[in-house]
This record gives sequence, C-alpha cells and structure tokens, in this order.
Amino acid sequence: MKEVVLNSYREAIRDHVLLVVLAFGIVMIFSSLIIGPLTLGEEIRLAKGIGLGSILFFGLLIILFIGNRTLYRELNEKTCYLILTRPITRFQFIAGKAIGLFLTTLVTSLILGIIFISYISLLTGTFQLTALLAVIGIVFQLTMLVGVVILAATFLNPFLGSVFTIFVYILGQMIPRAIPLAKFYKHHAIAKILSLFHYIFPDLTYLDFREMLIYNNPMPLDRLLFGFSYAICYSLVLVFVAGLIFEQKDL
Amino acid sequence: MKVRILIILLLMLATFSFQRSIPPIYHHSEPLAFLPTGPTVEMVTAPWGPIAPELIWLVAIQYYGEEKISGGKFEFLVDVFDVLLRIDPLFDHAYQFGSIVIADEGKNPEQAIGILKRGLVKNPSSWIPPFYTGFIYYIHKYDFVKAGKYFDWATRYHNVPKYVYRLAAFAYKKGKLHDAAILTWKKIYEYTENQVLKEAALRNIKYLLIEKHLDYLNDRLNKFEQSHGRKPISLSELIPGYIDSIPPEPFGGSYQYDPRGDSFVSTTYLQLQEVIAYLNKALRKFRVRYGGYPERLDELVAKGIIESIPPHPLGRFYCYQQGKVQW
Repeated sequence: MKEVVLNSYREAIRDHVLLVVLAFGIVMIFSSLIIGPLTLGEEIRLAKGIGLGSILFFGLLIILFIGNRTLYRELNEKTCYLILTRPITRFQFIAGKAIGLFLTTLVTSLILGIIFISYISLLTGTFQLTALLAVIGIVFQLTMLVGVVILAATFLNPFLGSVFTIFVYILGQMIPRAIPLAKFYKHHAIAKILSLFHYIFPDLTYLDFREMLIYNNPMPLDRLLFGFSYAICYSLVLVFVAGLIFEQKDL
Repeated sequence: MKVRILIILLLMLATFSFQRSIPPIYHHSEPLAFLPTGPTVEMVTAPWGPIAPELIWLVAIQYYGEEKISGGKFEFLVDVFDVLLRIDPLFDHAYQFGSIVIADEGKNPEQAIGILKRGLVKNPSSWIPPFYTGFIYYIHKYDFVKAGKYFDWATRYHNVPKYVYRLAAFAYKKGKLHDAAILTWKKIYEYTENQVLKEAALRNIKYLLIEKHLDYLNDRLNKFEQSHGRKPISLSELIPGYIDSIPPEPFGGSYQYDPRGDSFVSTTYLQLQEVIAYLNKALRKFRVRYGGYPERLDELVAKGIIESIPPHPLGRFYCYQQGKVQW
C-alpha cells in the first residue's frame, strides 16, 4: 500500500495543475497588498479573510482536478490491473489513493499556510497562533472533501465527480446555516429533513475558524478536538465506503 | 508567420475598440439590486467561505464611493450593509461606518438604527452598536432620552472610551432625565482620577440638582394653581400641603418664589445672570471706547472699564467668545 500512496503522491506533485493552482493561491494571498488601501483601514482583516479563503478555495481546486482523475486514469489506462496483481487488496488500493491525495492536499495547504501565516505575522507584528489553527481547520475541511472525491471517483467519471464534490461542499457549508433558519420560520418538517442531511453531508462549519482569526477570539479547545476528530472519522467512513464500492466493482 | 501575428494584432485592436464602444447596460448600482437580503443571506453566501464578508465590505466601500462621486441617492446602501452585517455580525467597523453613512448620506436613520439594534443582539460583547444607536438617536432623531439610554448601555463595557460617560450624562440632561444624568455624572466622578474632571462632575451634579429642584417646585406651583385657580401669594400657602420643605440649593444660594415671575428661581442663577449682564455691559463700553472687543476679559480691568472681574457664582471660568460672556 505504501507504494500506492507514494505513487499517487508523486504523480500528483508532478502534475502541472498543482503548480498552477499553487501559484494562483500565492498571488491571491498577496492580493490584499493591492486592494488593502481600498478597505478603509481594514487591511489586516482583508488579508486574513482573503488568505484563508484562498487556501480553502485552491485546496478544493486541487482536490477536484487531481483527486477525480487519479482513479479514473488508473482504470482508463488499465494500470490498476497491474497493481492489483500484486499482493494488495482493492480496499488497500483505494486507501492508498486517498492517503496519497491527502498528502498532496496537506503539502499544498501547508505551503500556502506557511506563506499566509508569515504574511499575517509580518502585518500584525506578532506570530498569529489563531492563523495556524485556522489553516489546520482548513486542512481538516479538505480532508473530508478528499474522502468525498475518492468516494465519487469509485462510481462517477471525473466531470460528474467534480460536480458531486462541489455539490457536497456547498451543502456542507449551507445545511448547518439552513437548520436554524428553518426553525426560525417554524418549518419543522424541513428542519428535520435538514437535520438528517446534516448527518449525511460533512459539516464544514465546525472547522471554520475565521471568526477566531479575525476577531482574535479564544479558540475553544473542545471545538478543536471534537472538530478534528469528527473530520478524521467522517473521512475514514467515506474511504471505507469507497473501498466497499470498489471491491464490488466489475473491473 | 508574420501574417498571423498581424491578424492577431488586428483582432486585438478590434476587440479593444469594440470593448470601449460597448454602452453600459446597467446603472452602476443596479447589480446590487440582485443582492440577496434578509435572514437567508448567511446561508446563500456560505459557499463563498471566509472570503464572503471581505468581498461584500469591498463592494460596500466601492458603492459608497461611486454614489458619493456621482451624487447618487445611496439607494442600496442599507441592503449592502444589511447583508454584510448578517454574514459577519461582529464586524464593528461596518457598524460604525455603515450606520453613519446610512443615516447621514442615505438619509435613513431608522434603517441605521434597525441594523445597529440587530448588532445589540448579535454582537453583545461590543460597545459599538449601543454607542452608535445612541449617536443616531442624538444627532438625527433628537431623541435625547433614547440617546442617553444607549450611551448608558455602552458605558457597561470595560473598554468603552471615557467620553461616552459624558455623552450619556449630556444626553440625559438634554432629555430632562435629571436623575439618570446625575447618576451618570456620579459614575464619572467615581471612575476618573483626573481632578479637573472630578470637579466638572461635581459641578454638573449641582446644576442638575438645581434643574431637578426647580422642576419639582414649579410642578407643585402648577398643582396649586390648578386647585385654586390662581398663583399663591406667598410661600406659606404652599408649605405644607403642596411642598414639605424647600430643598437646599447646592451652590449655597436658595430657591425663591417670586409671585410676579410666576415661578421659582434659584438665587445663584439670578446672581449669575446679574454678573453676566454686568460683564457684557462692560464689554459694550469697551467697544465704544476702543472700537473693538478685548481679546481677554482682564483687559476690561487693565483699561479701567471695571475695577475687578467678579468671581463666577458657580466657581468656574467665564466663557468669553466674540465679545460676549456666557455661563
């Protein structure tokens, strides 16, 4: 399985898409230098918001571009048959692909994250621990999306897989905010359905630490721990389901 | 190859000229008409992630600038700030800037107050929403009682600037809420270590006590008039029955009833009026003699217009500006 992990990681790192996305991410982080003066004294706030948003957005792009193709390419070019003749189960193959994609996402998020934290620390004059935690929060959000994309890749083509992942991302951001709204308008049935969806789709808001970063609010330890644990468990569930689907797949 | 490059350059030129010739379809502010509003905003903008509030802040500033330059009506100002503060209810600067421009340039103080009042609930750890609610009530609605109430609310936060206490006291005074104003000045007296401010607080408490006493005494006077159909001839008709006792005047003077004046007056205030009238008369004399007003009051003594400047009956300095003394 180690070979599968390293192979898919190396393959992704060699991909030009990754470099392009990374370059755009860096440009976006520093874009606040140009638009900062237009914000009426909110330069730091803008740098934090745009920087954090860029890491999430470009991380998502990497998952969509690379994650959806990784399995499809193996199946299409029939290279997976060669791998599966070795002493490796189909589940291990899927798990290896997921870990490889996770490593790619981790490395790119860390590169963007280090640039972002250094930039923010330079602007504020102090090391921003909240910036580090906010970046870690995004890494865990992306981890859940890695699970989603690997699951989608087992039964959808890259295009539909991307649509599916974007759909899940949007729902993951919207459902937690829609539930209180449904309750506010007393649509109890809708609130119940949304609550059910809340358990099915990933709740990305648990790991959104933007507010703590921008307002320097204290980061509750329980939210961090439960949030990270939730993301890990959720991703594992998806990878296991993807493994099951792949095992049943008629290759 | 050269032909192809020439074609590309020509096409680029054509593209630029077409681009420059395209007439604008929308008025610059119209796209804002499509902004989602109301409680669903937070959900609709969620997929934008952490960038959404920053982008809308930029849109708000840009919109404000465009309307300001073009002399627009700031039609969507409320909508933009409403959206921004719904998705980021902790954004203090947006409450400050938004409420002021909505009330001032957008001529819509009610909407500004509406947005700020939501901030009172959604951003309870900040003194900005209550302070600016008070500010809008004071400046735009002339509702000094409500202004005082919200300034007073803002003073409950530990990081509120100290001038807010004074604003609360002034607003209460303007709204004739003497007790609330006295209480606020007492708070100022307690928190400050600045001796000058302490003295100002004590002096203001005394003024307010005079106002409060005069209001009370004149109210009793009106009650007597309603019952008897006439004003009392002397104080003995009021005490007891209508007034238990005349309260002591805080500056050491007294309250006197003048049946001809139809109301109670403070002797300190009377003395003050007399002194000010005396000084203003001396200033007029100075102008007649020297063709202009003195720069400082003590020139009146130096030039022999008066022998000395009488002490201020309330123990403070005279306010002398543009040839006129005021208290």
